[in-house]
Amino acid sequence: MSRLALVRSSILYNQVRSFSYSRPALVFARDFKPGEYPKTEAERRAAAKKYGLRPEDYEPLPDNGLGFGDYPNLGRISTDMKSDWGDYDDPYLKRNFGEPIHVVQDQITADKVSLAKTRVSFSQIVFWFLFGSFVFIGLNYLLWDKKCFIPIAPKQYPRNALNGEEKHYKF
Amino acid sequence: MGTGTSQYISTFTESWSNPNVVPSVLDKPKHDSLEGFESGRQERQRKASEEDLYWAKIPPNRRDYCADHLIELQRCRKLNYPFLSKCEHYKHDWDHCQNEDTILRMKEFERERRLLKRDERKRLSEEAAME
Repeated sequence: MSRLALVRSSILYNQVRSFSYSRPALVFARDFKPGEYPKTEAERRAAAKKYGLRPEDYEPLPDNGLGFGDYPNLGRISTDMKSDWGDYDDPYLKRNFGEPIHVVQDQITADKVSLAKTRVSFSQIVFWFLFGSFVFIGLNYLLWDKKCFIPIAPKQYPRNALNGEEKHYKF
Repeated sequence: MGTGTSQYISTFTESWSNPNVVPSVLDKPKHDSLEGFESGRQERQRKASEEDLYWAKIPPNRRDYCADHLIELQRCRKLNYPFLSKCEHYKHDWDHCQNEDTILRMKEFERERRLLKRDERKRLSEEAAME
């Protein structure tokens, strides 16, 4: 498998398939399917050469049922985390010729999901949302019967006075 | 915060702590309109009749004690359209009438409020005397 095979046109769109956490299933074209998890040292070196990495840099995703055979683990780095000012051959993917492509590259392009660490963690988000909602609902519950109003008597219409019951006077 | 703001706020905060001292904004007042006026009160009049209001096509929510001025205003506007700035005199009359009406409503509210407070004071003094 040559490096020319790993170009943008060969990336198929895997987003829909890989939402399952228990059995992620990415779609690879038949000729570009990654091989088996490398067990021997020779297999490792061959796999590193195949993907265009140095043997010491090559680290496959762990073989725990959530891996992708011998496809390398290029880290939790999405395209928007890479430098905007680098001189890339492919500016959309921020990738140079021959550079290995991340397994889920089509999901982590700059206009899609970002893997950057968020300023606000998920638990913070959940806490503040629940806090705000309970405060709002609680205030409504406590102050439901306590109304504010403009302190003025109701408007006087002559049709009500003509009935004789009610009479309207000046001051 | 001046005394005006705090007085305004106290009109409805009192309704939370002591509801029987605050007059109703929707219902008729509990006390008699002529109570306390030795020489009586002047009645409010509207010179326009129901028929005048019908032919002038005044909507029901505008058929109050200022409808006379409103009829004149509408007549002026119809005659002078599109030069509506010629009707400023009638508009000012109607607006002035509405302002007076609002002030009268505020006075009614205040009168009712003071009468209710007076009743409350009497009730409390009676209860204190009974003990």
